Amino acid sequence: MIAQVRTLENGLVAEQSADQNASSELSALAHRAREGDTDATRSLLREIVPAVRRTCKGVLGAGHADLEDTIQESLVAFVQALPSYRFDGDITHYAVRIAFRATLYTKKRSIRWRDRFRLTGTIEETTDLASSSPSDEVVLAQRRKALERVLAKLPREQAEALTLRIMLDFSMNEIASICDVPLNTVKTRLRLGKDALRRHMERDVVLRAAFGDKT
Amino acid sequence: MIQVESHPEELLDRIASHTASADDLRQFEEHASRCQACAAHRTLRPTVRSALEPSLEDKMRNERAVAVAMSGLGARVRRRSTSRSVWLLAAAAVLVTGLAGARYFGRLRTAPVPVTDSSTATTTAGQPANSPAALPESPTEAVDGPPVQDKAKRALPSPEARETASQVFAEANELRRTGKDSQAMVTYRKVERLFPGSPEAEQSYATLGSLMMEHGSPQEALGQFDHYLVHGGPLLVDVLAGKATALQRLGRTAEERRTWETLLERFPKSVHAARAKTRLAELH
Repeated sequence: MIAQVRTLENGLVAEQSADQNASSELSALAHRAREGDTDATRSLLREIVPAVRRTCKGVLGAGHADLEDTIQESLVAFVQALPSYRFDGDITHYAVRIAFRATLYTKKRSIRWRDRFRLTGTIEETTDLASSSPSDEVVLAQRRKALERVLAKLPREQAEALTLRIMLDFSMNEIASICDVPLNTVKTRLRLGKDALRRHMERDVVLRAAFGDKT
Repeated sequence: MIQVESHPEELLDRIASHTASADDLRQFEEHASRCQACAAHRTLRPTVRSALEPSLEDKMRNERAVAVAMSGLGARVRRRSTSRSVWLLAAAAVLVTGLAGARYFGRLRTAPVPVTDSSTATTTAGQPANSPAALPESPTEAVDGPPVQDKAKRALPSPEARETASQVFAEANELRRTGKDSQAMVTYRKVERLFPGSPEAEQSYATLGSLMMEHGSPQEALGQFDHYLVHGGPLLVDVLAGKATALQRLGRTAEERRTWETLLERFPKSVHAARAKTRLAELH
């Protein structure tokens, strides 16, 4: 039993050590990138681009017309923001923070662009009924839109915390690192945000239906 | 004092990672029966995780995104270096003039200007110290691609071939966003011409069609919309509405009717539904 615990602890220590090594390698790349080292910049971007893509995809959806543009803009913005990075946290989370901001801006801009193309009215659901059993992607897109309507009514910090938590599946510790705020602040924002979300769902039949509640 | 029930985020995480105990599950179910927000969060989670998983194409797209970003960063560095490049060129011009003068008056032989290897930012060996090529390159020019002044000396493939679909498409989008519609339309056509079948070209058909409608060219817009409709995409409903409007402006009533009917059949709740119904009533 004791040997098993020690093995488990060793495994955890080894994993933490591996994480720390990866983190320090990224920090070293970031230092060199800040000094104008092109190869280091490229290597650093290659390391963080999966997290950036995940962030942009989580907010915009995989089929969004501006997804690739937004990812590229986020990478450029990340490099330009390197001089401001304080090397006091996970640099991947720093990149996610920048990508998240860029993606929210793209979303607002995208809505304005689609409004130019639209002939009438306000934004509503667009479910393609040619598909008799909507794919997971279609269902997720519907739920994302339903959630976004509610989040648009919340204070910005709560909406962002909920987006990071629900649509991007970050843990509370990760959200604290991404937003550069204490963990308790994240907990408060999530609690208040979910309270508001619950109130909206209690009043909104369409919103409940989007999540499979047939009552 | 009102007791505010908190939401069991830690329980949710344990459930998602399959480390929740039976008691955890019971506690969460009790909470979820009262809290639709947490119930919705639990419902969404597996689909969200699945959607966020990287696809096979993502690795290729990531490489392309990095390449485009590096190219964009390089352009910014070259623009910042312009003033320094101008100074270097001016200094080189003074030096060359001085050397030519010295040769005329004093038989000074100048060495041939070496071809600078821009990828390593060094010059070939054995050059006179006062040759223009010996001037140090700006450290900020250490980016992908040759310095501006070396382009003429290298046998490069055509500039168009070196650009990627993503780069040209991004350029077209930027022109559109900044209101330079005419230039945007030219650039979207370039995407379609140079990168047929690419996702960027497919997207360009929708966007270019929309721009053409705005600029009073419904016939040309129709061609673009029909291209898009061959494969479809996220703007399908908008393109159907655009096509119907183009057909209306061209007086092709029967086709316009069919297009509105298709739109309503497939997207009965879309933002275009009201207009579709109104227009169909007018056409009957």
